[in-house]
Amino acid sequence: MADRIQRALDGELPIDTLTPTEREALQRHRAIIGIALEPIRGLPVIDVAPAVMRRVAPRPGVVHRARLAVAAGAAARWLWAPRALTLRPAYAMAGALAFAAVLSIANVRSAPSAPAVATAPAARARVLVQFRLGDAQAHDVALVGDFNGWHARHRLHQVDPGVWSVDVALEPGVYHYVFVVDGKAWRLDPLAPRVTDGFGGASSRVSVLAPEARS
Amino acid sequence: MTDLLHGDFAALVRSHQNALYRYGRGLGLDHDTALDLVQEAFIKAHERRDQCRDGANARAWLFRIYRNAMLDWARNVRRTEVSLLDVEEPPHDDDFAERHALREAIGAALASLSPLLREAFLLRHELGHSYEEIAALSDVTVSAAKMRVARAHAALRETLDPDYGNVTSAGGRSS
Repeated sequence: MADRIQRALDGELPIDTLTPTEREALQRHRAIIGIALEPIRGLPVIDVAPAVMRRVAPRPGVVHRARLAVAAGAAARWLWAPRALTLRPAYAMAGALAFAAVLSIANVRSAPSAPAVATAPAARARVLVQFRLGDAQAHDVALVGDFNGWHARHRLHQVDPGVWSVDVALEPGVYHYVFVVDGKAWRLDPLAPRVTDGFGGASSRVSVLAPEARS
Repeated sequence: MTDLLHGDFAALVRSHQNALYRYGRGLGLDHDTALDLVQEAFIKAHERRDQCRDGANARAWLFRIYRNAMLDWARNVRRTEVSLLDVEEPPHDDDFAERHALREAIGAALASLSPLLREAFLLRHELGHSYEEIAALSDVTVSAAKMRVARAHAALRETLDPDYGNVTSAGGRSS
């Protein structure tokens, strides 16, 4: 009988083929399974998705740098690869004449001017940006983002009870960041735009304008 | 699979995380350890997402990763009270503290089963695995997987329903 009960439990044997005694045994068997599994079915429901997604999501800055590196590598390979060129001599001669003409015109135009002076590009002015977070429970708040390689180099100071602040000098640009509370909890800036990373994670965004653009 | 993981890995986590957690708790892990290992398993899965080409096999693939994570953990910390899957027999009776902790964690009836029988029983009746899936996960044949589940049933009957054997084929019970 045990084998038939087992097959009925596995769905291999239709219940209506069982004898009344076998059906009673099947019911008892199901009750045994239910009792044995009761502690497991009473376990709490968990959700590790936010924690997992934070750990596997690429940092926005890292993604941008990786894409730039790939593009730069492709360009370098294209420039460096040897190629065979075919050229009609008549076209080459015409091209050389055109180049010489452009050069002579440029010389004539630049003659009266003063000697060229090499000038270094002006350093981009940095803008002091203040980041603030209100959290009365926090003991330690750090700021991580594109501007510090997502390392907790910038610590916020408690300027008032529960009010954390830090000033960071940033060049004009767009940056993604989050606050790290007590070394583990990632917090978005409630006052800044939220940016999702496509993996269920998110960060805050700040746009720093050049001083002249803001006037 | 790669597209699924890139496009909606969070949905994959949410679909399977509680099954993995119950699997770990059923084998005797405490809440924190089971939770940590679920996270670790998904992070490994993300790192190795190219290894799983077929989305339909994602569950079996995730269970395999989680099972390996549990075994690594058990080997590293040498937690004999959990014993997980290394030992065929349940803990000895004189190891009262270990036995008591395990019973408290997962219930006396399940704790009375040896780890391998408990695993097969959980996979079959709590997590809805087929015998083929149990066999693949446990590296045994399908008939061995069936045998483990049947032995688990028999052991649980003895623990929870000692009168079961008295049911006669005639429809009554022997006195």
